[in-house]
Order: sequence, then C-alpha cells, then structure tokens
Amino acid sequence: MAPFSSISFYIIITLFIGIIYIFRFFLSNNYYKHLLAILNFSFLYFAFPKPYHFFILVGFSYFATFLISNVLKFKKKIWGILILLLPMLLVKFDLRIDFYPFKLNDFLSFAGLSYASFRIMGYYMDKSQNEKMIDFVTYFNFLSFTPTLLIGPIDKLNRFKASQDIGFLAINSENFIIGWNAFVKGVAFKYIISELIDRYWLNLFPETSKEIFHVANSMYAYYFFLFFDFSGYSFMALGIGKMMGINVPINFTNPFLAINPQDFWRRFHISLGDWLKDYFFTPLYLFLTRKKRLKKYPIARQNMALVLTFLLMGCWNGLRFNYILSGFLFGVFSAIHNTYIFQCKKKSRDVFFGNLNPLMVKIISIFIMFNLVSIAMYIFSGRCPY
Amino acid sequence: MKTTFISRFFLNCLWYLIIVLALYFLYSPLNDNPKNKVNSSVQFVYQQF
Repeated sequence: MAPFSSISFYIIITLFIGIIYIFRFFLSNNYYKHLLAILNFSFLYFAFPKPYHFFILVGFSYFATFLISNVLKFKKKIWGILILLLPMLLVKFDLRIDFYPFKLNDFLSFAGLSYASFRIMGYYMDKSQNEKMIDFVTYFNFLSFTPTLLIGPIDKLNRFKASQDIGFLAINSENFIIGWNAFVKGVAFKYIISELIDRYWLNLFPETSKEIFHVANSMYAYYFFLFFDFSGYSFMALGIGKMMGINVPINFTNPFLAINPQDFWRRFHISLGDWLKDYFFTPLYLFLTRKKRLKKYPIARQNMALVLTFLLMGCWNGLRFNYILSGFLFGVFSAIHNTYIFQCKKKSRDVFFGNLNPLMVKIISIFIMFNLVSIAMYIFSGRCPY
Repeated sequence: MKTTFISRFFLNCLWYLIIVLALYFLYSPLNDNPKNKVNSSVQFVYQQF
C-alpha cells in the first residue's frame, strides 16, 4: 500500500499519531527518534511495496556517503554524487543489466526512489569532508518519514533533525490543531476540488481534439487539477507531519499569483525549486563562471545554467519527450525573464512595460505567467494533441 | 473573544459538514460516475516504476 492511496493508510497514520501521543507520557525526549524509527520501519515493512529495496538503498547510501566523504575523501563532489545517484540513474535510464537470476533494475526500483535519492544527495552536498556522519536512526527517519515518503516535500537533513530534536515537546494540542487544519485543507484540495475538476471539467474534453476551445479548456483544467492534486498531498503530509511532531516544509503558496518564473518556483513545488537551486543551479553557475570563454558573458552563463537546471527537472520526471520539453520551456521562460531583468538594470528603466501603472504591471504579469505555466503544464501532461 | 470562538466553532462545523457531504457525494457507491475512483499524482509516481 502506497502512502495516501487507500483508507488503510489513514487508519495506520491515526494509529501512529495515537501511539506517539500515548508514549509521550512514558518516554523521555531522547527516545522520540527511536519511536519514530520503529513507526517508519513498521510502515515500510508491513505496508510498503518492496520494503527490502528501500532498506538496501538506505544502507547503501549511508555506507557510500561515509566511504566517499570520510574515508576516500573525494576532492570533486561530482563523483560522490554519481555514486549516490547510481541506483536512480540506472532505473531512470532503464539500463537493463542482468546478473542472472536477478535483473538489476527490478532489484533497485521502487516507488519513492527519486525523492529518496534527492534527499540522499542533499545530505551529501551539505556535509563537509571529515564531518562526523549523522546517526543512523536520524538518517533512516529522514529518508523514510511516512507522510513524505512517496511524493515529498524534499526536506533537508539539518531541518529535519532540528525538528526531530524537539521531540515530544512538539506533541501538543496547539501543533495538533495546526496539523489538523493543514490536513483538512489537503483533503479538501485533493479529494474534493481536484476530483471535481478531473470529473466535471478535465474529462469533458477529448485529449485528441485539436479544436481550440477543447485545447484551452483541457490546458487550464489540467493546471488547476495538478495544483489541487499535488498541493493537496503536500498539505496532508504537512498536517500529518505536524501531528506526529515533525515540521514538514511548506510546498505551495498561491502559484496562480506568480508574477515571473522565479516567483513561480518560490510558490509551486517550493522544495524541488530550492533543491534544484542549491544543488544544481548554483554549483553549475559557479562551474561556468570558471570557464574562460564565458567570463565576458555573465548573462549567458546564468541563462545556460537556468535552462540546464530546468532540463534536468524535466528529465527527473521521466525520460519522455513531453517532460523534457516542458522542463526546457520553463528554462526558456526563466532565461527570458532573467535577460529582461538584466536589460532593465542596464538601461535603468522597464524595457517591456515602460511607465505603466505598477498595479497594471502586476496584473498583466500574473496573466502572462499564468498562461505560460498553463502551456508548459499542458505539455507536461502529455495531453497535447499537436 | 467568546463570540469569535463560538462563531469559529460553527464555521468549522459548517466547513467539515461541507467536506463530508462532498466526499459522500463523490465517493459513495450510489454515485455511478465512471470516474468514481481517485486519480492522483501517486499513480504518476507509480507509473515510473
């Protein structure tokens, strides 16, 4: 059973929350992480499909991180990254390596591998060489925390640990109410609004129809569906996390009001945007900055890094044309906006809007951004008939 | 302060009632809509593995 996929999941989660609330009276704060580990382990072992695959990944990544950063001490992090991401890369690229009687891909792949790999890489990137490894229980909890196991948000280990260290002190009525409200919001978003959009708007229009009215409806409906569906999960994960005593990062804040691509990624799937910025865009930009040929072209460097970052995001969703193209489009939008900002600074005036009223500028920006994102999401959906 | 608490309580009751009715309307066996099954991002994640 996958998280959030059936009523059994919610029964198990209710049981988990109940256990944590009961044990806070009997256990000292130091034992919170151990209790959390037992609950996470129980869910994986008894309910999650392919639990051994997950345990192998946790063991492999912990050992590999220790080996790479504390024993072998690789000077360039890229080799460490490639080793840690190897299981995900083998699965994503569908490299079928067989060790009879095993097929390596079958052995490695399980739902949630991508999110776990992103968290693993985040820890490795943040960890400096020779820094002592985090204790295994915290590491296991970080990767296997039940509400965020399958579809994020992508947390950072330091943040997770800080939240975990508060322990049973975070188990109180105030946090429960905050968590409950977020959970109810998630239920309303996911199980009602997105379902209504799916049944009574999105599915009214055939995917193969090229009629402009059908295409436009399908495009806007899909964007709304995706937002309410995905943010519904994120709010439920946030709410359950809060009720279990862990602060899960917020993942969505009104993306429909975004005024430019950068603003959009600060509002939509925030944890992925932050992850890409911290662990891919910034290192890549610094790498390009060191290239002699690009020294004279700062804006070209930034734009190259932006497009490549969003291409990676597209590839991460799956090596299919629609995902890669939508990632590329997001990259192009960001590069165009980046160039626009650069030109505005250079010429000390707004090169696109001129002296237009700031409120009008904002309204037009929201309108443009909303439509651009709708187009990119529509391509992402694979429903585009062209 | 007391009025705010009471009005919030009733608003919450109304909000939960709407959610429960909507869930019942959407997922009740009496609803014979062919889409009466949850379509979701979880399936998207599963498709890849």
